[in-house]
Amino acid sequence: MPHKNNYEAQLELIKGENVNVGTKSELKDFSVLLGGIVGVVLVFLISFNTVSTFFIDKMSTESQLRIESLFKSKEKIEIPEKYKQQIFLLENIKQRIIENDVSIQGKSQLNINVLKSKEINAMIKPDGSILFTTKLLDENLSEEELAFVLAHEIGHYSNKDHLKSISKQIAYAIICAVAGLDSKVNSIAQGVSEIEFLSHSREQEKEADLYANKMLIRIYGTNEGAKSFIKKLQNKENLPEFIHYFSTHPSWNERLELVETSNK
Amino acid sequence: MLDIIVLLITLAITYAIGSYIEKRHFKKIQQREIALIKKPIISYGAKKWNTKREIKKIEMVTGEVVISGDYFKTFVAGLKNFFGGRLTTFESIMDRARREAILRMREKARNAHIIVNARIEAIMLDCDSPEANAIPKCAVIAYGTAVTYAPQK
Repeated sequence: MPHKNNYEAQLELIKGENVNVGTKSELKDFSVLLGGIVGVVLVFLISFNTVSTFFIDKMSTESQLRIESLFKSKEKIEIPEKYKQQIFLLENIKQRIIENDVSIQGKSQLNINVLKSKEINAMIKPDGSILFTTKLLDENLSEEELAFVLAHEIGHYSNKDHLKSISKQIAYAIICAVAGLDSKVNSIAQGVSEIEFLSHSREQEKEADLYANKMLIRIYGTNEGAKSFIKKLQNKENLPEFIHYFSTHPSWNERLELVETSNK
Repeated sequence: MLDIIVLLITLAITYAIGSYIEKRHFKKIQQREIALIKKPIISYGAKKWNTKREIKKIEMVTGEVVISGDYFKTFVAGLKNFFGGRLTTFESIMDRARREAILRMREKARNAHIIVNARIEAIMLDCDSPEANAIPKCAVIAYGTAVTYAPQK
């Protein structure tokens, strides 16, 4: 039988503080590590984007055209007969937009092509050409609505978003190369990069919307085309508002509010 | 985006469940340690052991346990592994495993008076697993010679 004092000492050891287990909270440990990784990734992305945006904005027309030519596809896209009339109309609108914006004059030809797709979409490619999906052209949009979509894409070109997206891809490649050494660090770094990318992309879309709205007012004297296009797609998609936090574009409500308020 | 949400939800769930299980285990270990506080005595050091008392029974007793960390602990340890530092999340697992193995050994020798030459061995299972997210498991074996004295005349 252990001595009474020995018994009490043992009891104290069992009930007392466990020296073999760290006293630091696991959650605190995790928060510090997570915060550190998020901070490092954000600082890197923001610094990289600030520097690259500065150089892209200051870039000469020759350099811009040289970079765009690197992405030029040699493949000739044939425009289906069905869409030729709409493309002809878009070409006319394009000329009017270029006439109204000195910053894009003497740059890319902004060739308009058709992309077979079941999604309603239009996009500007890194080579400066614009793609309209067949589904979008099938929507029977009015001239002003088509002008809004085209001006939105030209807005991306005017803001050099197509070049900024290339610099973003380089930044993500660097993050993946460093964080890729560990799968857990990589999963956090990629998640943070994605959130930053989506937030930045939504800002770019807003800027392009404002540009398109301004162009519509300059050319047609009204932005009704912008409003009716947004409302049309808003009724078609009808997604809950929070979904747009996971999207590259702002919500339709936000976009509508933006074009309505910018007109005032 | 969806990946990071799934990851955060998984971490939150595994942290909540893992913490509950760990707290419950520590509580049970403490209760059992208090219950066994009076017997049997453990001697870890002696390689040669003598007694003048008459021995009734000698047997080898073992206590084995395999314990694994939850996803949250493994995730935090993985991050720590990248930057370095104390793996505090695994310290509690090692402590639980060691104490549980000793308790099981002592419970096997409940009627003995002393366990001599007690030893503890620990190994990590799956530590060389090619699977990047493999959750490490720790195996601890406590063993010793349980000696029961004959009743004193």
